[in-house]
Parts: sequence; C-alpha cells; structure tokens
Amino acid sequence: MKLEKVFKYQLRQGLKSLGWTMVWAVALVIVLPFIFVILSGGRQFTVEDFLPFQLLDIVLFVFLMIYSAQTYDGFQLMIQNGIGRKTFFYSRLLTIVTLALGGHILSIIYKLLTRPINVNAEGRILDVFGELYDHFFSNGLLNQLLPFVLLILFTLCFAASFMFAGSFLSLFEKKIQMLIIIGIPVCLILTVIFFGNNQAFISSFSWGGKVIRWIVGENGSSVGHFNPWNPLLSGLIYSGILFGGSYYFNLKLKTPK
Amino acid sequence: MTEVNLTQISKKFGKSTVLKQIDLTLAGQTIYGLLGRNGAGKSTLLNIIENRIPATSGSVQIDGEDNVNNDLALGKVYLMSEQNLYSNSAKVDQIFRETALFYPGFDFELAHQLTNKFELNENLRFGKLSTGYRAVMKDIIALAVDAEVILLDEPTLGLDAAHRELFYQELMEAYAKRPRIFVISTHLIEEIAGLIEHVLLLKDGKMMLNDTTENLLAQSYAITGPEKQVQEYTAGLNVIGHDSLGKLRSDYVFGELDDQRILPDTVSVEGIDLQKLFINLTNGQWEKERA
Repeated sequence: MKLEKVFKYQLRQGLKSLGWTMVWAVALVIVLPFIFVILSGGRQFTVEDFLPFQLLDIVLFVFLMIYSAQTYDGFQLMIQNGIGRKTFFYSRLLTIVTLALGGHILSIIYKLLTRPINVNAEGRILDVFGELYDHFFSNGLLNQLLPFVLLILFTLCFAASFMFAGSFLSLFEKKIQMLIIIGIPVCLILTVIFFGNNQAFISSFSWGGKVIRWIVGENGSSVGHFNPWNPLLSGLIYSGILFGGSYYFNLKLKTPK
Repeated sequence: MTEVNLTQISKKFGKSTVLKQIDLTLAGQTIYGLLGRNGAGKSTLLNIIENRIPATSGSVQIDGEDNVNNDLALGKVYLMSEQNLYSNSAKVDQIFRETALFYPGFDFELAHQLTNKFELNENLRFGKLSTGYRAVMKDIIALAVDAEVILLDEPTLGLDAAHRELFYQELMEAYAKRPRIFVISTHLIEEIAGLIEHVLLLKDGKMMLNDTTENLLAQSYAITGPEKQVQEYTAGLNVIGHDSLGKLRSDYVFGELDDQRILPDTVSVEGIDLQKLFINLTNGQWEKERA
C-alpha cells in the first residue's frame, strides 16, 4: 500500500482547501461588513460585531461537509495514478480525522485569543459539549478533555454522514444522483404531511425521544453532569457504521460508471 | 521483467457480454497493437487491467499479484485513456508534479522536452486545453512515467497529422531508450502498422488473434487474377474476403497456401498489409463464406 504517499498528498490538498475556505469566510464575514460600515459612515462599531465566536467551527463543519461528500473526483485521480480503492479510502479517512482534529485545535486557539475582546464568548470554549459534561468527573482535566473528544467525535460523525452519502451517490450517474438528492427529501416531506396528524404514527416514534436522551447521556442529573460515556459509545458506533458503509461503497467505485 | 496475465476474463454490462473468457499474457519488451472494431471491448479490457472497472469473472495478475485494489500491482501500469480523470482546475505542470508523487521515476526532462515539441503550454489548466492537447498531455505523461506497462487507449484521438507523426516518433524513441510493454489500442491501423510487434485482435468479445505481426503477415495473401481462375485456386483455402473489379478478383487468404496447387500464369500472389488483414478478418464476410 502507498498509504503514506496518498495521505500526505490528500492532507496537503485538504489543508490548502480548508485554508482557502477560512480566508473566504473571514473575507465575507469580517472584512466585507467592516468595509461596508466604514463606507456607509454609519454607527460606531465594536470588534465583536465582526468577530463571530463560532466562526472557525462553522467554517470547519461546512468544509468537512463538502470535502467528505466529494468522493468521485479523488477516486478518479487516484486510480489514474495506480492507487487502489482501499488505500484511497483509508487515506481519506485519515485526512478527515486529521483535518477535524487540526481544525478544532485551531478553533480553540482562535477562541482563546479572541475571548478577551469578544463579548459573544461568554467564557465557553468547548460550547455545547462543555456545557453538558464539564462537571461529570471530579477531575478538572478530564472534564475539559472528554468534551473535546466528544466534539471531535461529533465532527467525525457529521463527516461520516456526508462521506457515506457522497460515496453512495458516486456509484450513480448524474441524473440518478439528482433523482436521489431530490427524491428522498420529497418522500420524507410527503410522509410527514400524510402521517403528521396521525396520532398512532406519531406515538410509534415515541421511543425516539428516549433514545436521543440516552445518547446525550441524560441521567436525571443537572446539565453539566450528563454522562459523557453514552455519547462517546453512540458516536463510535454511528461513525463506525457509516465509515464502514462508505468503505463498502468505495470498493464498488468504477470509472467509467 | 513485468508480466501481465489475464485468465478467463469476462465482462458483462447488463445483458450484453462485452468480453468472453479472455486469456492473455503481456510479457517482455514488446509493443502490442490491440485491434478491434468499435464495441469490440478494447477499452473495457484495458480498464479491467488497470482495475478501473471490475471484471465479471476471471482475474488479472501483474507479476503474480492480483490487480484488484493492489497499489503495488497497479503502480506498474499506466493507462492513458480517452477519459479525462485529471482535475480540470489543475495546471499541466501541476499534473506532472502530482503524477511524479505516485510514479517517482517520472522523467521531467522528457516531459518538458515533449511539451516544447508539441507546443503545449504547461501553465494552462487541464480544463482549458482542447481535446487534442488533452490527449497530448496524457500521451506525454504516458511516455514519461516509469511504469513497466503502458496502456494507450486511442492515444492519437484528436491529434492532427503532424502531432500524430511526432507522437509515434517519440513513442519509438521512448521505447528504444527504455524498452517495456506498450499496448496501443487504435483505429488508425495503417499508422501504427510499422510500430507494433504483436497483434491482439478482439472480435465480438473474444481474442481472435494473438500473434506476432511478422507471423500474421507471413500467412496473409492477396490472390489476384481472373475471377474464375482465382476462385479455382483459392477453393478450400481460408479465404477471409475478396474484392472485385470487372472480371478481376482478389481473394484474401489467411493461412497456409497449398504448395501442391499450380498457380496459373494469369494469377498473382502478394502479401497484404495489416489494415487489409484487419478489415477482412473483422467485417463478417469471412464467417459468412465459411458458413
């Protein structure tokens, strides 16, 4: 296997794309409004107006959504260069994990740097995961570390979902891809419209709420004391299944289709 | 030396069988010509060797290793195809550098020489190149990579006459400099007839011929003369086709002639070229006459 070579190449390309996405995001979210306010000569502005605390998180999630879903172009280039489907998949998986990890570390650094001048920060670095689990352990370090691990795992579950969808769609021609992309949401919406008022149908999903509460780790305690092992286990199983499915679809890739 | 072995390769697309139990060995330092009419399965066969598509049954072994998702085996092969698998936004020189990551012996010097000779601007993006120049770029990569098996699927598609001639020259030079296995699949048989050492002829998904060009041409004849005498002379021989002009007739024979038969003074026997042999073997008339 030429995993190392392919991983280095894909990581370089991924970092380049992530970098450009961040530059564009900064330009659109910070620089443009800043220029607009200056040109319009309007009100006074403060730093927090142009420094969204979650900026890098949002950019990372949008980037990973697009990056993870794009399977076919990468496969074509790799098979042209004598790289098999297994190496291609493992390398992509490693790249996504590395980008998710690197992206969040960068985001934390950004938050730490901007917190003193950003009123939107509200003192939180790990956001929702920190809020839910940062008092579960008696050990302060663990209370900081596990929410971070959960954040990474959540990001990987998110990426796995799009990788699964992208790999599945890559097996089809453009027309069928469009049919699936449009058809599935339409079917779901129609299902909700037809059965939305049916009490029996709604109550048949009552278990869903319980499952979600279990996954979140709600144990009757107050927020901050939720059990982080439940989301950890659920996330590992979910990402395992979806990455496994993506692997299966990757092995089926061919060109021409 | 690298050896590629295909064993009982079959490929179906839906109900249609494109390749039927192909057994083939590519070995030595040889230029193969993969010939066949449209839809004969040439591109499918090459795509299976490079594992771009799976075979329905059978196996491909490259130096004894199965080619399916095997980087080591696939890295010994480079397939230049009509399909464009490179990113449209990548510049030519960037594509060269990326190719060199996976084929470390990529000959940059040769690649730059060839871009100059073909007048291909290395700063242009792949998506901005014309069809002809896309083929040129892929041809240059095929000649510059250090793979042991180079598969060329319609390498001159979209190239003008001057570029086609230049490509054949460069191909021969690259082969002379570093002999390896080349497989050229093309419709332009006349142009490559002088290059290929070994002919692989696909017809209706089957490997109809697999022999050296020399052997094939040594047993291919045109028997020309008055219709009646030609037909009498070729009766019982393997006549693969014929042409008629007035009362003159040429019968094309593939196989041994009968030395015992007396050749009439009015009838001549000449060799035929590869294109003529190909046309007559693949046009279906042969089977009809045999039947």
